[in-house]
Amino acid sequence: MGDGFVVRDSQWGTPVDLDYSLALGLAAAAAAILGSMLGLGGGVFIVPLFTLYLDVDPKIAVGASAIAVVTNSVVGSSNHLRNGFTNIRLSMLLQISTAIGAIIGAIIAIWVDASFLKVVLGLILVYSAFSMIRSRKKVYPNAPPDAPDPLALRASFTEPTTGGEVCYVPQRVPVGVSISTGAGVLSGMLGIGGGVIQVPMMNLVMKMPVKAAAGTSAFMVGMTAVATATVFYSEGKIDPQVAVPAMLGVFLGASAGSTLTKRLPTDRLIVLFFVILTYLGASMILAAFGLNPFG
Amino acid sequence: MMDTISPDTLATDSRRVTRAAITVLTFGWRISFAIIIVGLVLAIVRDEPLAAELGRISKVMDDLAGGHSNGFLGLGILVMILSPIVATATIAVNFFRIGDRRYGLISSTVFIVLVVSIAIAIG
Repeated sequence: MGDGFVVRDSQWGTPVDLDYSLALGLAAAAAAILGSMLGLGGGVFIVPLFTLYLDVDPKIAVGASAIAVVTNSVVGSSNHLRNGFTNIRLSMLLQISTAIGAIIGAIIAIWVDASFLKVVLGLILVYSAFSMIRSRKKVYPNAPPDAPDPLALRASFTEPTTGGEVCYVPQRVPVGVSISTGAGVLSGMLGIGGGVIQVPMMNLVMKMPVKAAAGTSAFMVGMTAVATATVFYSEGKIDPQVAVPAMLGVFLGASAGSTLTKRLPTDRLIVLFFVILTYLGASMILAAFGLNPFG
Repeated sequence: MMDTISPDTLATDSRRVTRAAITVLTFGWRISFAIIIVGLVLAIVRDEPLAAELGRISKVMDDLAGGHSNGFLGLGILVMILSPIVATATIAVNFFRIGDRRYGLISSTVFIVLVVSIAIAIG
């Protein structure tokens, strides 16, 4: 790929090209910035970027993407946890239903038409995008100290842009757990990360601040991607010439993304989320009808 | 029971669990990248070509024992993959240590589900 500076020829694979490695790293960094800021794994950006623009074999791209998603989650979460954006108790509670849903989804995927599922997911994403943008100016009041919290999920963080303390108790937890199971089923069926569903769900249904939703989701997507990454690793289908630049790019992108999350006002973060969700939703619906949004 | 714990106590306890998770995740990516950088330096110094595929874990271990860059890269990637699993186990242990049995059990279940899903996936 490319005609840049070739370091050496590999007796097993393609020549290692520094320009190409740099392009892979930069693409992964861009995906990780968005992924880390929005609580997504970044795989929805990495796979199309690698396959459509950098000529990476799809199977190699998916394996590298799974490792990149884990890297994004590990690096980004260590920062989000420091900033108080990750609700560990809630992430564990939702992860059980998400993981079980993903297993069920993977098992029943063979009986359900993938195009139908893509349309359903696409509509959910577009609906979530418009719901989030409509309520972006709405500020949830801080939870009072005596607010009911039967599941001990209360959490707080300092909003870096205002310096104010944000205290919240996630609401309608059983509904959230149910939606998480559904998100897991869709993840298992369509091979996507659950972040695109989890973040709007936590914000709109559980009334969590967007930064807390993104921080909690960022931690969860790493756990979800571990199984996929392990499959590719155990099968030996990891190309270090693709995976290593992707990991290094993700490291830089995840660090920058979690710093930007801290500095960016919440309503701008929601606008960014609106753009990404609308794009992904429209892409899903178009893909279901055999139309490639990348042309 | 956790229901009767005050918000301040809950926050203090949560900070202990959070600190443990931060430590594991931070060590995870630092060790992973340190091993990967050793692999890259070895590849450059020895003019050793990188493989197009890492190969199965037994090959990665053989390469590592032989001091080949491929082995270091494979080990570094493995450390990164294992970090969220170790973090989950650490979170479970720390919930039990602060006396929060409910979330200790929930985190342990997440850990078991992760291990089982990996076993099914590899299976």
